[in-house]
Amino acid sequence: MLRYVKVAVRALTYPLRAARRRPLVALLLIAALLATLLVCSFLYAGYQWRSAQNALASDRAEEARAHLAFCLFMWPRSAEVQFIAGRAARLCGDVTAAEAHLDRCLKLEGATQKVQLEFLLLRVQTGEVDQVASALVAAVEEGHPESPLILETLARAYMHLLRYKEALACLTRWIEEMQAPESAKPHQWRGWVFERLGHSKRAMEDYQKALRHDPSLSSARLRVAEMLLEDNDPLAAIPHLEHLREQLPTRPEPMARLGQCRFLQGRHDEARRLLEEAVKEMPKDLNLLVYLGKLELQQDRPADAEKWLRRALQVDDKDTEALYTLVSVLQVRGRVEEAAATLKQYKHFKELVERVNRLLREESDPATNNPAVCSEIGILLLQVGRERLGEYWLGRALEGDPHHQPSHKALADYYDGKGESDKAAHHRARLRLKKE
Amino acid sequence: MWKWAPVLVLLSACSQRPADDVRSIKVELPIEAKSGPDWFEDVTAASAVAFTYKNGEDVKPPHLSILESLGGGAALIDFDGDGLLDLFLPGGGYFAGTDNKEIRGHPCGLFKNLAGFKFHEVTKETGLDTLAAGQPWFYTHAAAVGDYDRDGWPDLLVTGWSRIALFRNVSDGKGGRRFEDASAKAGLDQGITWATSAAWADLDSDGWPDLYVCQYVDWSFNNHPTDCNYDGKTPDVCPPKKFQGLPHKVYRNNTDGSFTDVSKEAGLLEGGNGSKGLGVLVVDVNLDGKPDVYVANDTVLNFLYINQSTPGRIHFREGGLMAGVAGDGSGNPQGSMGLDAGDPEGRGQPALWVTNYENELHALYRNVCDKDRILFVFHTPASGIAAIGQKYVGWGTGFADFDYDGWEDLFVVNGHAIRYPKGAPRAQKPVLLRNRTGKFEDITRRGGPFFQQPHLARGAALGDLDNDGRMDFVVSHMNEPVAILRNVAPKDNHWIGVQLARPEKADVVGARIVLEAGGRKQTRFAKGGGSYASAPDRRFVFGLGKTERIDSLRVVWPDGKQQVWAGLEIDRYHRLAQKEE
Repeated sequence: MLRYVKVAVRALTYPLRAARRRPLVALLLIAALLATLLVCSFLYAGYQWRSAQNALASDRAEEARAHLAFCLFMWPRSAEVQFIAGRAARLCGDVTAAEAHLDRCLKLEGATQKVQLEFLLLRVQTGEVDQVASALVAAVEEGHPESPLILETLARAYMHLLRYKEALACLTRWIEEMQAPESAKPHQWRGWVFERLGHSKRAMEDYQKALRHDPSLSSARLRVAEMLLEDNDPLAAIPHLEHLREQLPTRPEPMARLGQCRFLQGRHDEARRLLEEAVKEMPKDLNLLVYLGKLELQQDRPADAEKWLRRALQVDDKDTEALYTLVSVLQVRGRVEEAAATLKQYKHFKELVERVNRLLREESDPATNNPAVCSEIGILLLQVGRERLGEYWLGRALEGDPHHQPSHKALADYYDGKGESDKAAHHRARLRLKKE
Repeated sequence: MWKWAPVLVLLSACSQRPADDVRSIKVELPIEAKSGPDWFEDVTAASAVAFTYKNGEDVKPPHLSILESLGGGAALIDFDGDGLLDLFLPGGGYFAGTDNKEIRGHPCGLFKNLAGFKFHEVTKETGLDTLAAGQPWFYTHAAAVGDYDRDGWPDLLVTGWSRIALFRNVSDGKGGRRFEDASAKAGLDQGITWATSAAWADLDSDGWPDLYVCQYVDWSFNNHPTDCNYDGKTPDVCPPKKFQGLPHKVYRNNTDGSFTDVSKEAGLLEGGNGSKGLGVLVVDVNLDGKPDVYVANDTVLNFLYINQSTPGRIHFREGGLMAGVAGDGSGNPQGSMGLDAGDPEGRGQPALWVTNYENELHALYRNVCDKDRILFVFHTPASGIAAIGQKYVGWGTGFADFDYDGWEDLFVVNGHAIRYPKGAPRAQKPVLLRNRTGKFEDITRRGGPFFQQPHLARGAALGDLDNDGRMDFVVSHMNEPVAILRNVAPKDNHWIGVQLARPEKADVVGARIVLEAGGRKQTRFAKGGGSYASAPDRRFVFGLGKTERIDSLRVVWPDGKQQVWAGLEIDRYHRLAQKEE
């Protein structure tokens, strides 16, 4: 053992001993090594730079940031690198980092047009869309070379703010501005927006265009299949779902939707196998649970149907489809009074859902931003269990009128119910202020 | 799910789940290719029926009014009692006046059946070329046939824009028959805004047929939005959601030739946004002997009016949603148009069938009513009908055992409701569904040449026009000639036909007939209304397959009494009269 240690020490100290013997040669060797290291670093940084740009061009901002880390180390005083790093950070939602990179850009090369634009886009992303939209739209109108990026950023902001009509306008312009090869993204986004606006046919067209540009877009394909299912066209949905099952063999969603197709085809045994397999992975998928309930009801197993529907209602106790199916199940089980009470619940929530849908479709025009309408939408959304959206709409009502009493009251009650007493107290205080 | 954008018999039979034994027998039919001899032959050209329902859409500039979208139906009526079904066809209407905003009617047509699928027009001779005192026709949609005065001769009710008209079947003094406009005398000449389908049935068990009339929406040229489109740019007909629904009407037969509007006392729902009726069917869903009313509403929930009437007093309880027949399997309202009731699974209870708008599954509701429970289960997926898909806008429809294998088949005629549809063509092919022991398969390709061509169809009436026991049918189109389709399905199966009659010519709706033959039971239900805007043959035909004798035929009359016939000869019609007290 001691022998081996001695050999190792000798080997490790050999360069020192050699350098002592030939110092000039040693110096030359070290210089060559450092030069090689430097060249390699630059070459590697160049590679990382190109990779970062490719990743950014392909909407992989996170990956771009990873590549840029080395570039920033190598070229901390490069305005271009700081700029791209700022954009990547913005696209990842890291506003602080984005701002820091852009500030550095300002110091390095001043307020160039592209840096100013990036700052404007950052403001859009942080919610100041109304303040800067007109300047950005004007830039697009003037044929700014970054028009697609401007429109993408505006569209994203409007989508985030649920302002679908404005988002639609941006996306449509983006698609018009696009040059070959077209990108799938604006079509996929516009499909999403069309759905929210209730234009399902146009949404489907856009999703299909997105798939033509990028057949691997699994989220668009799944949505196409789901929309075909919603249109009661299981035969058209099946090829998409089978494609997805090959593409994503471990994902349960295609299996679940295929099970729904089999149910609609009357192939109950196959439907059961697929749905029961999928529900292991998606135990809280409402559609899946309700379909299992329906399947049991069709197969004269009302007790099992009730079990699935109760599970669905645990996920969302206001789900109208689960409630409606449960009404039939309870009647079959002879629990007429319970069925009548459930029907009453169903009607109540259905009415709320229909009302909020109508308001969202027809009266939630952002141009008017009527606090009363926003507040009513918010309150209805809270009542049907869409809490995040409810909070958002009540927030919008308060943006329009910071003293809007129904909104403060709704939020105070809501936060009280959630045990968030600080937030509740904040809104109660506003109520009192108004009274005083 | 939460969606964003747009979401009982007399005999105490009610106390038991009826006819459980029926389901136990499964007849395994040999697997047959979907190809084979055609089932229907288009005999319109040789029939001498040259008649076209016109909706007035050719006016310049076009109105694109919702009035133009409903079209018309067809009524089968043996008006002269010669044993052959004659054909009455509403004519539709057009727009006139200086600004083309006067709504006028085209004359309707009556065609006498001369046998052998030959017809002769008798509109003028029978007095149907005009209304009373030579007044011109109004814009018409539907016709309903019923013997409201119980004189043994079928009378005619015609519906349409702004009014309905009742025509009494009377002697022409020359040994023939003619019609006289009895609307005013009957008290039916007012109170209507826009009537669509109608149905006759004795709703209060007094033997006299009462009348249910659907109304649609509150459109008029004073309420005529012109800002509708379906592609973001092309002006088109506005959808029903742009309008308020109108209250439906139920008229009690006063037994003296007049009627009283008892809609309110009967418990009919108000109009508003929940009552946009297009189709109506009267059938006893819970087998308590009282015919119930099922209404197809457009884009809002369908109604199921459970009959709680007592003699002389019509009263309903609406229970469509609770019963599971108001919407699709998730309770969502559909654009419902045509309907029928049948027993496609051989369960002994009437299943309900509704044709719907594109991308909305047609609804087959399995009847699981039991004792006091009125309940249906959405059976479209399990029946195989959902698998066929639903790309068309369905209108006229009906159950009939076209091939006489003992299982009721279905047909649907289609045509888009709007002028410039995006996802589907305006003219659409009909659909023929064959029932194979309770599961349906699409055999449209065997329907014959008519089924291979797209049409802009609306109403359709089923009936045996040549009394050969095979159900033919008549289709009314918009701005395209009516079509007469002869059943030419292979004649290798037997059949038996039945016509019901009650003492003093009382109404038979609500009766049911149970046939036992070849180890199976089949049930038919006496109905009022049905299909879309049309009046079908009121006889009942059972397919017997290869069975050459029937074991029994039992009729359960609306008053709860039963009669059983045995040894009836097959391959012919029988008139079965209720035994008088």
